[in-house]
Amino acid sequence: MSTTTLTTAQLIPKERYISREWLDLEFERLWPRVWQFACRSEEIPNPGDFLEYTLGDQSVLLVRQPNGGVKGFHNACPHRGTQLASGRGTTSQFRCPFHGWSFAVDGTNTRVVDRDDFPCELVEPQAVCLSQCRVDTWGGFVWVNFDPAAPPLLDYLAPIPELAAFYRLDEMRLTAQRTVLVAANWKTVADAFLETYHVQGTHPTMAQYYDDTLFKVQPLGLHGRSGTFDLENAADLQVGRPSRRLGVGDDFDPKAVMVTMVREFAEANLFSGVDVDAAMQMVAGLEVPEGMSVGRFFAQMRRAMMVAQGIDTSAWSDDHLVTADSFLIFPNYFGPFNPGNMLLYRFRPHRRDPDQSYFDVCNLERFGPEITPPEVAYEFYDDWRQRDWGTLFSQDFENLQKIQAGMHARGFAGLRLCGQESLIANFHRALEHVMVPVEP
Amino acid sequence: MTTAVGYAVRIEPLGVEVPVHDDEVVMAAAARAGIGWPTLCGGAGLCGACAVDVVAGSEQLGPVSDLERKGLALAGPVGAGGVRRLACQLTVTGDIVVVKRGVQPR
Repeated sequence: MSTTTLTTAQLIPKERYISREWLDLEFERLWPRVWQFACRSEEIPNPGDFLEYTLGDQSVLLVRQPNGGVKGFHNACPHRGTQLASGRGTTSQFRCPFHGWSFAVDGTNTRVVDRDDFPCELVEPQAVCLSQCRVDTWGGFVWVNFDPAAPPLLDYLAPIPELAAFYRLDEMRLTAQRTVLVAANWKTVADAFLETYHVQGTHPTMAQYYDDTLFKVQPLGLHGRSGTFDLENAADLQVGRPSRRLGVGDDFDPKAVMVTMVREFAEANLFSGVDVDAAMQMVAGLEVPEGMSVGRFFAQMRRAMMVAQGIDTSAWSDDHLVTADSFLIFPNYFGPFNPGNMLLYRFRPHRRDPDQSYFDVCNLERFGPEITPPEVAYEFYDDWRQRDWGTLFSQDFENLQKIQAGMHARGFAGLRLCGQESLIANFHRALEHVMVPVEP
Repeated sequence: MTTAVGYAVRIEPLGVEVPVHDDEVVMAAAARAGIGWPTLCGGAGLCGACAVDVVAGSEQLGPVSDLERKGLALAGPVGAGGVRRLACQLTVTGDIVVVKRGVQPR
């Protein structure tokens, strides 16, 4: 597939980012029609395990069934609408806290108190079961959809399942899910990850060890992809060497490049869950061998760590082990995928405020067969400053509020995008395509 | 008014010496001599990419501003030893020697 530039000379209307009307339109026309990533399969491993997924004013309970499947229930008692559960847990039944109606984990009603007191047509067995939404899984991710007419999940995601099969995502394990309430629209946050044009302006240190000029973007229907794709020897050419913007050629200190790279990757959990101190200790005594690129040296180090865990890495080249293939899954997921680990960012709208959103950072990691993955760290921050996010994330967080606030300026006309930002332009075309008016 | 006294800044490992005036920053002096210096922000003190290690004459350096202190935080680990400064902010009061990889004649 060729890399296409799809930017046009038109401004992207800023109202999509700042107006309450547009936010409401998204709740009416966008979210009910798209597949939404609700949780990882391993978060609810055993029958009766459940987890609540929320977006806007919708809450869904994902429940592991005795037969191994997963069902999704709208979180509302069919009697008067009371929510039945929240958070995560394990149960043998859901009992409504209001009047005691009860439901088996498969959603069937097991108790209507004083059933005889209701008109019998209101309490027919089907009518008093939990209302289900569509659920499907791909790559260990559990998805929900509120639209009975929506295409099947794999058709919706195409061609990403095929392009990403190679990463065997179902074998990864969620290690952390950190949610931040951000003072910016969900699309403002998403856009920050959809282009690498901002590396030179926002992440100058990254330009010391990553050649941002080699990034390509590729629209994939509704979705998109960014990375180096099939660039041969990306391990020598892109990662572990300064950006061409710096004009230093091959004249740089490989050790300094490696140390900066490993520290920033570790801070952002970009290439493993290893903490920063451990990562720095690991590279402190290492010298990049004469004649070997920093990227290849790093790839070999990473491979050795995976092999030591008993992971078969034979399917992946050095290029795969150091570069990240980043996918935008329409409308609100983006993440760098790598054979060793991946991040998935989920951008959820605030229910009422276009100037706020929930940013979920999901860390997934591949573990060797003998390793027990750690307990998942679930964390919530109503201000990103409550946690040390490391250099790269902090630089992005610093910008978000300013971008959102600036878009309100009367003198700001709209977003003007360049070719490097064409995934954002493609996203808006997809948004226009999906948000056609609801038929009466 | 400042007099254009002129000091010498030697840039290693390139091995060239450029004259620098009073109140002139090292990166500008190098540019005047036809030497390209790594930078992303164009000399605004923001990106840290121009950082040098001053290995001789470190007692003859202009003061570090708050802006430069912030930029230095982005400069990465010290490589050659000596005093780390931003070439785009660095003035001198005498001859110095700096180490900077990636500096290239234009």
